[in-house]
Amino acid sequence: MDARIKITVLLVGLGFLLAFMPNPSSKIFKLKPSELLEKSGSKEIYFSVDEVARFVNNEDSTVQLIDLRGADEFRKCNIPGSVNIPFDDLLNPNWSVYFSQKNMRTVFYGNGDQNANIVWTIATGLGAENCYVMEGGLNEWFKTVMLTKFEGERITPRENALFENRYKARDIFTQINSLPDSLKTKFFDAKRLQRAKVGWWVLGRNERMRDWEIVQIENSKIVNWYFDK
Amino acid sequence: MGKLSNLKIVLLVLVVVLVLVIVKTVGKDGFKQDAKSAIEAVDSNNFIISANEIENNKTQYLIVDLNESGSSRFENSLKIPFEELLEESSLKQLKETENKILLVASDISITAKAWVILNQLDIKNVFILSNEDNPEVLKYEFQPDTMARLESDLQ
Amino acid sequence: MGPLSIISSLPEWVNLLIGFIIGIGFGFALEQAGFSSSRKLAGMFYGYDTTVLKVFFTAAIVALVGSQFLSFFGLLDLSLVYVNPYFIGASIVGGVIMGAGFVMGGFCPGTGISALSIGKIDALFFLFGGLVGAFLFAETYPIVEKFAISGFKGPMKVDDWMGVSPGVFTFILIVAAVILFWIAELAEKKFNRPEITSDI
Repeated sequence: MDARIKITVLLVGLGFLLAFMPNPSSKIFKLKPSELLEKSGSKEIYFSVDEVARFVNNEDSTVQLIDLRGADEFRKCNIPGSVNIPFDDLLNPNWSVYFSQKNMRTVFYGNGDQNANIVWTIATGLGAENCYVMEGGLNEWFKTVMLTKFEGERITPRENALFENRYKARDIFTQINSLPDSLKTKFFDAKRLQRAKVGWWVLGRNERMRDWEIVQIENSKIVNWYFDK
Repeated sequence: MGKLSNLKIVLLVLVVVLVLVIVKTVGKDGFKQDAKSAIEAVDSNNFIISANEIENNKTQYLIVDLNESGSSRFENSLKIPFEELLEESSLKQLKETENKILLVASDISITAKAWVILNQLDIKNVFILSNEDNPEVLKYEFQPDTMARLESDLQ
Repeated sequence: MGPLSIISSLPEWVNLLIGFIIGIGFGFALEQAGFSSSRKLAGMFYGYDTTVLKVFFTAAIVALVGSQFLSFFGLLDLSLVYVNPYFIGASIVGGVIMGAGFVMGGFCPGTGISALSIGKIDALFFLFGGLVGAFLFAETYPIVEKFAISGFKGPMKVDDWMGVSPGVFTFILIVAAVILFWIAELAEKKFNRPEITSDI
């Protein structure tokens, strides 16, 4: 019999099988249900807002903050250094790089507790490691970090450290979020360069202003930052 | 029949692949759902039930209390502590009920996690009770620092 | 070795060696299939020889079926496979230029190299032309940049666009291919020309 007919039958047959097989791009949890349940029961998956404030103050490079709110809300304000992955866009393959960082701690937050915990379970179920939730979300952040005041006569060293941490994070939060949008990412680029090297750096063309954005760095500090035609 | 016997090898290959596929599909113990379905359900917001709705149609729901201890705020609720969610007896009850399943806990973090796990195990009609109208609303307004200036503005 | 998960931890030189061996195999298959003959390649456009269509379409289908089965059995991580981003305008213009060069030169880039390796002089000039084109494109890129990046659609896949699973799409494509091959063979009979490749 003609070889081409055999090959045709084979390919059509395999294709027919494929048509009934589950979509290979579908995301199915890798963990066993019992493993996932055990992990989710742990208290260690939570960071308090004070701990996250410390990450922000220290610019901890082993932590990546993931903001799960919509892009509009993110633009209004977000925790400095966070990455916006809107909840409904979570499974977009573009973000997969954030979930495959083995040496990074990934901290999810939304406005409340609900979405961050749902995303934590999905991400962990899909095999992402070192995932955490910021307890209470941004509502808790505002309540505790942004709006508490120390009231009382005498402050203990512990309270002092706690409030210093909060005030510092509060300042950074307010400053960064008061910047125009176009500068926020540039600000972090500049900070990263600041740590890297001394000299003049062209950060790139500013879309809105159509100017080149240039910084001068000396002694790990930005000494000059301006736009040039 | 002559033609068919010529295709023997081809058909054999197809059957082997088919068997392998079936073994792989059936033999897998655990989650089979696409995680997308969880995201979509949350997006369409049809997994949250408010306290008011419960009061009116209590009989429609099988209320599952995930708290470890303490008495439930609902009478006739089924008590399954979060850690025991996947035990055979609990799963059996959840799978067999004809009512909608309503998860209740002191903290929405617990119900949210349990909801994802049950959703991905393809247990239908699972809802979570929300004490607030929408927990994912920012209750505060960010106040920008109006004193902040760009360096370029200062020059 | 990219997304093949069983051999992902091999050292770099082994990866390159595997690529080299696959490359040799590919070139050998092209040569043996007669693709170093520009008559055979141009025959596609005149309908007297549709080998090109059949070979490349079959190769695409085999790869499609194979990669999906490997992925299903956990041997290949399809999410790591690079999907070319789609630029509408650039794809159309590029396709027209490629097609025109193909029918005029009688080779496509791969078969051109295959033909050069058996010493065909026309293939030498064909490849030289291709390199000149690449050079000109690079040098004039600032002029064409705006067009080249217009209509960006990201890494699009036909099955997403059609809203069916990749498996269903593969099946449709296989059936389409079988029908197309059948029509192609009819065309070959209709536009038949005497085989003269061996005479020249």
